[in-house]
Amino acid sequence: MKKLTSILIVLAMFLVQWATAQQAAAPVDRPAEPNMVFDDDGGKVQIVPSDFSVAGPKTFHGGPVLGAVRQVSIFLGAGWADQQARQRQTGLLNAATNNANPHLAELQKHNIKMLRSAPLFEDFSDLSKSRINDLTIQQKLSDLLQSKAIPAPEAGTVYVVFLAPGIDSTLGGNKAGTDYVAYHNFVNLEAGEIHYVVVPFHPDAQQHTAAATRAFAETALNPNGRGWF
Amino acid sequence: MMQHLRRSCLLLAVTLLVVPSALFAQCGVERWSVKTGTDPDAGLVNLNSSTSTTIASMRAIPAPSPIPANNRVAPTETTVWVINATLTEFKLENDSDYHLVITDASGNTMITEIPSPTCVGSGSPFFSAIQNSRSKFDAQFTATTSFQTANIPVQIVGVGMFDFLHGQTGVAPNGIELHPVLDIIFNPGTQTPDFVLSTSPGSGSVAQGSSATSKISTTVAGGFNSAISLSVSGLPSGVTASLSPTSIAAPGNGSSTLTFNASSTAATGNFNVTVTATGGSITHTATIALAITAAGGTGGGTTTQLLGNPGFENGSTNPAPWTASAGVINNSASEPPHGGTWDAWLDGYGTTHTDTLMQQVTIPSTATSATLSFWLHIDTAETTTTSAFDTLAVQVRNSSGTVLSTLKTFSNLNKNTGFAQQSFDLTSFKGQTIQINFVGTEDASLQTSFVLDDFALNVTTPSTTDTTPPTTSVSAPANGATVSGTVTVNASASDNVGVTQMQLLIDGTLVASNTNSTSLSFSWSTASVANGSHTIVSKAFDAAGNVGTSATITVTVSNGTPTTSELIVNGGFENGTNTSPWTLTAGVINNSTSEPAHTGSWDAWLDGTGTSHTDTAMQQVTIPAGATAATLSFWLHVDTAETSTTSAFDKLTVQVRDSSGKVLSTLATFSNLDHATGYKQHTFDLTSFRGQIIQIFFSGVEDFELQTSFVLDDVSLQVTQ
Repeated sequence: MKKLTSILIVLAMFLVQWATAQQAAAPVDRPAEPNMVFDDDGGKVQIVPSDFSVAGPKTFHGGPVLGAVRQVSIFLGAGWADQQARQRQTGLLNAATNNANPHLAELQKHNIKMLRSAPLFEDFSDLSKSRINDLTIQQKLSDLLQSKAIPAPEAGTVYVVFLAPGIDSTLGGNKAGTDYVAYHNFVNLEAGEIHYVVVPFHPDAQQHTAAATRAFAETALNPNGRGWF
Repeated sequence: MMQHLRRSCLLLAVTLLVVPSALFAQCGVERWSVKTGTDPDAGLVNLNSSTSTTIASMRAIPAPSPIPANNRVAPTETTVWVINATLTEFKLENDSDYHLVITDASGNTMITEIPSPTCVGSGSPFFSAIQNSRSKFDAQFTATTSFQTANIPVQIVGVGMFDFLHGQTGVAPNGIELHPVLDIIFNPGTQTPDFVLSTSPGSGSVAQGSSATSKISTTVAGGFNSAISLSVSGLPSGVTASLSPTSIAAPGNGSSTLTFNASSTAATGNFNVTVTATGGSITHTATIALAITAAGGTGGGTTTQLLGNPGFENGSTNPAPWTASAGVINNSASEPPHGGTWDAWLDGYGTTHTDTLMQQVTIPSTATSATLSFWLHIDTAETTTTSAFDTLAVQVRNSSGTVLSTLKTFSNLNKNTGFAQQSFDLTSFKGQTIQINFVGTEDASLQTSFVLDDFALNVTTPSTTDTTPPTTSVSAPANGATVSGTVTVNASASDNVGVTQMQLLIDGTLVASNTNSTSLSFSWSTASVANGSHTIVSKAFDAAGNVGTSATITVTVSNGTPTTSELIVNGGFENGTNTSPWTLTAGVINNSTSEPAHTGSWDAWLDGTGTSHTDTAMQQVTIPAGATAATLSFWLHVDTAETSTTSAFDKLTVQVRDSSGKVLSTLATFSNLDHATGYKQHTFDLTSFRGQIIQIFFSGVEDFELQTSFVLDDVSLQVTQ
């Protein structure tokens, strides 16, 4: 009997794990458009899905496209203080102007000017206790702009928030890693309309850079959800 | 053994059956103050009248451009609108709003939103209405994080708000919403015309010789349309009440201020005062619990709050007199406080972890009551409805740390939306020095956060007609001292019952104060006053209203005549190619006629290459700690070949960096858009960097085409001390 009880406990633990995994994978409301999800206050957001090896053809939906883009990189979280993680930064800093950017030609096709990246900003706050959802990102950007820690937005400014290893990113019930590897959104603050990209840490450096590059390009092509996607 | 087996099976079943719920809640960001009524224009919203409209009419209002972040667009956003429509979809958003989509007979939709009261500042004039409409919605539906459909007639009362278009479900083309919703009536056609009477606060106390107010509000429903008259009865002897206004105009939505005035001889004790509202042949009453207390006391005794830093507002660097484990004192938006900015966040890691929080107090032996209260919010990722995996123990310990009593143990099973106030009777510990102790224990998985805020330990001691004023003295600076620069002023106080407030006055002007403390410090910048004689006095107050005043300390302020000095060397670059102490990139120092200097012969010419290029100019200086002013200025000329009037392609950034090059502040960014004939002077206040070694750093960044030249001259950093 004791053995049977032990087996049941192990089975229960397995099922807890399984149920948790199912919970994480539970379907959430999604807009009809491909690679779009609802964010934390009900708006639509374009994500870079976990499997983004193939990008489908884009169609134009009548909305604005950015005329020029400048990357302002924000490295958020104490994990970026780690030397090994920091080695990633160089590759991430120039998602816009990197000649290896596979989206460069598409951006040039639409006459989107690629401007030199702004100096990086680092915030090594200990966020190990926090889940980072999109509202947290918006509040953080608001705080950084109010304190003038990062440059004020200009036409074409895209803030790219690179999350440190160990930070869990969520977006309207979707989870980083499972549902997306990056996304872009916009918010209107006192400083004006802010376009931003959020790039959770990816264990694979190449995938990490590729996710950032794609989300950055999609920001230029589809800044307000009605451009090219 | 069988019991153990059954328990395992139960665990199995519960695990599989429980529906996961939202793991945590948060408040929004975009136009949040307007959405919740904490914006500076909230007072412009006329809550005493409403305007009936339709979805089609609201959708036809032109959207403003730009939409202000924290202000209202009149009249749409200062009007309370009433719309009859059909509720077709609803969802709980992650910003805690209920997102309601309403539809008219033609299929036009718009969004109406009910914020969570926990995300609405208590100063919002909409707070109680939001709370009420949220409760009414909860009584009808259970909103979840997925859209649910409905088909029910509703009458929605709310304030207009233009949202930004983000592709929201049901959004009107112009972004107009009713946000926040102030009232929602389901099946309005079937409701009897009526109104709701409410009071806020519904209880209070007034000391003899004092006054207090309560807000009386009426909200109509079901088509009620009549003036409502208000009256008050059941007043104790010696207490009068006045209502302003005495009636609410038709249709009956509005509020009135009820003021109680207690005479110095008013009867003391607890009384129930009745507020009566009559209109349209309907009468409703509400009761206000009114305590009349003796002057200088409370309810026949003196009540003193014993805990220091009760709302943790001293921040994480100065939690005393609390002792907290690392990371507990919190001001992150992830777990917002009940009040103020800070709270105590125990656990929330989702790993095996223990957090503690403790404060030691002494409860007077004469206490007739001692009540500990605090606000507690619990959220959890645990899904069980039966097992307390993560716990928070509320303990009373003696001064050695031995547990005398565990008042209560909370757990993940007690999770709640928002904060709930908890209260415990500690009268039995009178005469003892005790530790109020919290132990939050989390198991190996699935976080539970215990968030504590706004403590009070109210101790009542018998009223002995305390006529003894506190004593207080200024211990520094010494009487007759000559002072200069910044001086620390220290004062202390004591009282036979307790000091409730301390004040410091310099030349009769209040400069610092605190509460429930027997010491007060103030850092006095004597440069702010004229040289000569000045007086310092401290005052201490007790709960009975007695005031003690210190002996007057007279000091002589003797600050030297302010001197101004120049910190930048070679600010006009007139040393030519001997550029020291500037650090310049190649080619920056210039005396060509292409870019003539502002004065003299030389200047610093950054960029102008028309290719991808960066030039920098830097000089390191030390701003003295005693500086009272530090002003950076320079003359800048910008010319460019760029033709854009909207895009800043080439930029000059002016920064303050520390001695290792880390950016401390970006003072300004100029660009090709700033091009102009001749020079323009720019000035920046650097006083906040006093006491630091800083680099004045200019960085000109040019893109790959069309030159922009940034020409600097006559750079100056003048310091006054």
